[in-house]
Amino acid sequence: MSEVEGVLVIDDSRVSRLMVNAILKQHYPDAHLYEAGNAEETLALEIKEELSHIICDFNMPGMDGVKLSTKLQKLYPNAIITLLTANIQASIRNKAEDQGLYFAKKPVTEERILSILSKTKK
Amino acid sequence: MTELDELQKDMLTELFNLGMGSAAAALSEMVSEEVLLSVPEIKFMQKTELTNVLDADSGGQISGVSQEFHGMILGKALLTFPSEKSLELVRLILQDTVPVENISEFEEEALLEVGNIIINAGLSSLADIFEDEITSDLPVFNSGSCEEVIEQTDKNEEYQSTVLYLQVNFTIELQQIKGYVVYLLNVESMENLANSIDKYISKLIN
Repeated sequence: MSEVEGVLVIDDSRVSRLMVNAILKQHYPDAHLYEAGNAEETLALEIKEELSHIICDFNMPGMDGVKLSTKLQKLYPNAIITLLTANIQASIRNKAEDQGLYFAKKPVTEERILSILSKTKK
Repeated sequence: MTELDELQKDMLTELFNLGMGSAAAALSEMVSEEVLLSVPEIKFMQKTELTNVLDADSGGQISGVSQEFHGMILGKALLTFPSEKSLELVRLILQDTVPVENISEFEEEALLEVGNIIINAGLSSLADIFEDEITSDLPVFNSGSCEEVIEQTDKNEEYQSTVLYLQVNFTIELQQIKGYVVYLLNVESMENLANSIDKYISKLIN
C-alpha cells in the first residue's frame, strides 16, 4: 500500500472531480488535495509539496491526459499517475501503459479510487 | 447511400450489443442500481423520422449529450433522456456527495459525464473489435424538444439524409428512467463501416 499524501485530480468534469475528492476526503482526511480542469490549469498550479498520486482524465480541452502526464512525470517524478478515463479503447490503454501510467476506466466509484491509491510506483 | 445487408446489420447489432453491455455496466455502477438494456435496433432513416421516434417515447422535452467522433468512422453519437427524469438521474449519481438543494446546479455537468461514459463505452468496444482507434471530441449538452436537440446536435447539417439509427434503451428499473443512444454517420463512414464489418466477418469465417 502506498502512502497517500498529496493528490492531484485533473478532469474537465467538475462532477468527476467532486466525486473523487469526496472519496479522498472520507478515506484520507489528512491528504492534501489539488484539482484542475485541464492541462493549462494544472501547469499553473503552485504545488510546493510532494505529490504521491495524480489522477488524470484523458479527453480534456487542449492537451490530452497522456501528453499532460508526460509533463507531470518530469515535474513530479515520485507521483504515481493513473489515467482515469471513459475512453477505454485498447489503443489508449496501450499509450498510457507505454508511458508508464496506470490505466483505470470510468465511472468514478469508491472501489476504483481506492484501488488507484493503493498502486505502487511503476 | 450504402445500406448494410442483413448479415452486416446482424453483425453490427451484435457488436453494438457488446459495447452497450459495457455502457450499461458503467451506468449501473454510477447509479448503484440495475440497468436493463434492450436489444439494439438498427435502422436507416431520415433525420425527420428520428425526431418522430424520439418524440413518441420521451413525452416532449429531452436532455441530450452529443459527442463527435473521428477515425475509421466519422459521426455523432447522441444520448437522450426525458428532461423530467434528468434530475432524478443526477440525484442517483451524486447521492450524498452534494446537498439535495444544490443538485440542479450540477445537472448539466453530471449528464455530460454520463453521456461521455456511455458513448465512449460503445465507441471503444467498436474500435477494439475492428482493431482501430476512434477519437472523440468533448461532449456537448443540449436540452429542449426532440427537434431542437437533434438540430443542435447536427447544426452544420452534415447528416441531412443519412442517419444510422441505432436505438438502445437503457432503463433504470426502479425509477423508470429510459434513455436512448443514437449514432449519426455520414455516407463515407457507412461505407467504411460496411467494409470493416466484412473484414471482421471474413476473419471469423476463415
